[in-house]
Amino acid sequence: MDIQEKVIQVLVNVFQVSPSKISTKTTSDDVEKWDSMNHINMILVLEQEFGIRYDEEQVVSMLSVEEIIDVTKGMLGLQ
Amino acid sequence: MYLSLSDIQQALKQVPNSKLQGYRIAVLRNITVESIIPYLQYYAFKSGFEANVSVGNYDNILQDCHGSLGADNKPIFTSDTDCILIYFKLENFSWSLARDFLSLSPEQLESELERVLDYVEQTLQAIRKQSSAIVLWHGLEIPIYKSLGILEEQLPDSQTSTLKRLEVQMKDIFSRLTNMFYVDLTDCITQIGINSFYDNRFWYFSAAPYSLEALNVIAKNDFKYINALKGKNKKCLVLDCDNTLWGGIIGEDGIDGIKLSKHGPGGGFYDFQQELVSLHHRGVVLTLCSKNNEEDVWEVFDMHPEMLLKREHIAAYEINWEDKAGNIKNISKSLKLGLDSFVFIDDSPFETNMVREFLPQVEVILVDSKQSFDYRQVIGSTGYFDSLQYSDTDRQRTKMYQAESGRRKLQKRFDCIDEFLEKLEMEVTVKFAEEKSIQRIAQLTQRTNQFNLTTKRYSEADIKKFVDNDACDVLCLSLKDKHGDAGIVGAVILHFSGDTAEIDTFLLSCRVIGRGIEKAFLSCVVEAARLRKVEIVQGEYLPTSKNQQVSDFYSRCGFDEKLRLNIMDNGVDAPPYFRSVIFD
Repeated sequence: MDIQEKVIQVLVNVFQVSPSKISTKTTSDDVEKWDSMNHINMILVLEQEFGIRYDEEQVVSMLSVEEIIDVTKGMLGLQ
Repeated sequence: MYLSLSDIQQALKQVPNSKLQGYRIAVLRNITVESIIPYLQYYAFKSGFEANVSVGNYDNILQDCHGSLGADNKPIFTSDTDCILIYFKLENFSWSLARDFLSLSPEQLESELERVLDYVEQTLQAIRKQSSAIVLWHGLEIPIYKSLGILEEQLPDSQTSTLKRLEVQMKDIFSRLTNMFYVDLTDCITQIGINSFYDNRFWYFSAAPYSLEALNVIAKNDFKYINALKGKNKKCLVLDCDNTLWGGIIGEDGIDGIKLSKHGPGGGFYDFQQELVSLHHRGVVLTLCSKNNEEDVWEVFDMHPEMLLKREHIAAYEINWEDKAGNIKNISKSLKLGLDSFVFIDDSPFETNMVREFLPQVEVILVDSKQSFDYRQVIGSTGYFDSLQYSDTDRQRTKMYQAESGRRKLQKRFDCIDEFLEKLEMEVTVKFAEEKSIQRIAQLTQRTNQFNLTTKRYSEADIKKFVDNDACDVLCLSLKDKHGDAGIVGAVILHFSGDTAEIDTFLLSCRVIGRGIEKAFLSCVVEAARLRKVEIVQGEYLPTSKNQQVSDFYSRCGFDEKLRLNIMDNGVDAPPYFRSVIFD
C-alpha cells in the first residue's frame, strides 16, 4: 500500500466514513466527524501506522488529506 | 510490548467462542481521555466482555454524577452501569496545588486540600445514590518538576510531602467504601517511564495529557481491578518442568546437570521459583504438566538442594508422555476448576500452540529458556492472579485442592490431535549419515536417555567406523516444521547379517517426542532394510531408568514378541499428518 492509500485507510477508520468519501481533495470541513477530538486520534493512528512523530506545527496544519500526505512524505524522507 | 490501534481493531474482529457478556463502562473526567476507549474495549474483550463505553462531559465529574446528560442526551451512567472510571487530573481542579504551590498561604493551602477531599466525597456519595457500579478513581500524579527540587522530599510541608499526605487521606475515604478504589497511577508511570507516559503536544490545545502507550497501561491496569471483582482473575497456574522450572532436561542432563542455583547459571529459574512460591502463598493453585518420567521430576523436587518449589506446593500434576492439552483438561477436572481460570507456562512453542489451539480458554505464556533471567518479570507483570482480597483461605487453598485432586487419573484424550499435528506442517527427511552429520549423531547417542531404545554411547570415531562399514547403515533424521528447522533430531544404526537387519540404535531427541516422528522414522528404517534385500528387521530394547516410555515401542509398531518384523509381508506406515516423509 502506498502512503496515499494508507492515509485514506486511516481516515476511513477514524472518521467512520466510506472510502469513496475521502480523496486527496478532502479537508476537515468535508467530514462530519473530523472534530478536534478525532483529529488527535487521527494523528496518533497515523503516527503508529508510519512509525513517526509529528511536531506541534504539523499537527495543527494537517487539516486536509493533501497536507497530511505532504507532511508524512516529508517525515519519511520521500520528498 | 506495544499495542497499536490497528492491532486492537484486528483483535476485536475475531469472532468469540461464545456470546460476550455486555459490560457498561462510564468514564468521568476532567481531561481529554477519549482515546482510551479502544483500549478499554480490547481488555474487556480479553476478559470475555463486550464493552459499551460512555464518556462524560469534559470537566463535569460532579455534574455528571448529578444527572447531567451526555452528548446522546442520556445520563452518563445509570443503575445498570457496571463500572465508573474517573480520570481526575489535579492541574485541572486545583492549579495552585499542582502548579503554583509556593504561592499558597497556609490558610489557602488548607482550604484547597479540603476542597479536593470534599469533591471526592461528594462525587462518590452522588454515585452511590444511583449506582452500585465498581468505581476506580485515578489518583494524583505527584509532580515531576518539583517546586523545591531535591529539597522537596526533605521538608514535611513541601508540595510532594503535602500531596502524598493528601493521597493518604483520599485512600482513607476509599477504604471505607465498598467497590470503590483509589488507583495509584504511579505504577503505570513507573512501568513505561515518565517520558513515554505524557504526550504534551495535545495538552495545551486539547487537555489530553497521556500518550497512547500510557492509555494502554492505564486500561490494562483498570481491568486488573475489574477482572478481580468479576471473578475473571486466574486461579491456577500449570507449569512445565524442563527449561521452565530449571534449565535443561532432567531426563537427559540428570539432577547434577540441570541449571538451578541462586547464584550463577540457573539464577533466573531460582528467582522464578521464588515468585511461584509467593504465588502459592497468595492462594494461586500451582500444578505441573510435564513430559517426563514421573520419578525424575520428583527426584528434583525431593533431592535438588536449590529447589524452592516443593511437593506440598503442587496441588495436582500430570507427568507423562501424553499431549498437554489433554493433561491440562484432566487437571481442570480433578481440581474442579474451570479452564478459563488457568494459565499455562511452557518454553516449547509446540506445546503452547497446541494448548492455544485445543483449549482457547486457557491463558498461555511462552517463555524463552535462553532468557530465563526474565521469567520472573514475565509472570510478575501479567496481573493474571491479582485479587482484591487476601485471607486465610488463600493461604490454605492448595491443601484444599490437593485433597480434591487425590490420586484420580483421568485418561480421556483428544481425538483430533492428528489434525493439530497436521497443521504443524512437519517435514521429515531421513538420510544416510555423511561426514558432516557424524558429530551430531555421536552427540545424540551420548546425550539421549529417554527416547533411546538401547542407550549405547558412541564416539565420533565409532560412528565413522559404522558409516565406513559395508555391513552397517547409519541413518539420521532431520525435522522441519512451521516453527523452523530443528536440524538432526534422530539417529538409527543398523547392522546387517544374513537375512536380518538388527537395529543397534534407535533414538530421538526429547525435544520432538510425542509427534509420531518415531513411526515415520521406523518406516524409513524398513525402507533402508528393503534396499539391502533382507527379510527381517530385529529390534532391541535395553531398559534403563530413563527409557520406560519406549519399552513397548516395537510391539506398538507391529513387531512380534521377539521384537522381529518380517518385512516381506509387513511394513510400518508413517502417520498421515506429516507434510512429507522423505527418505533419500
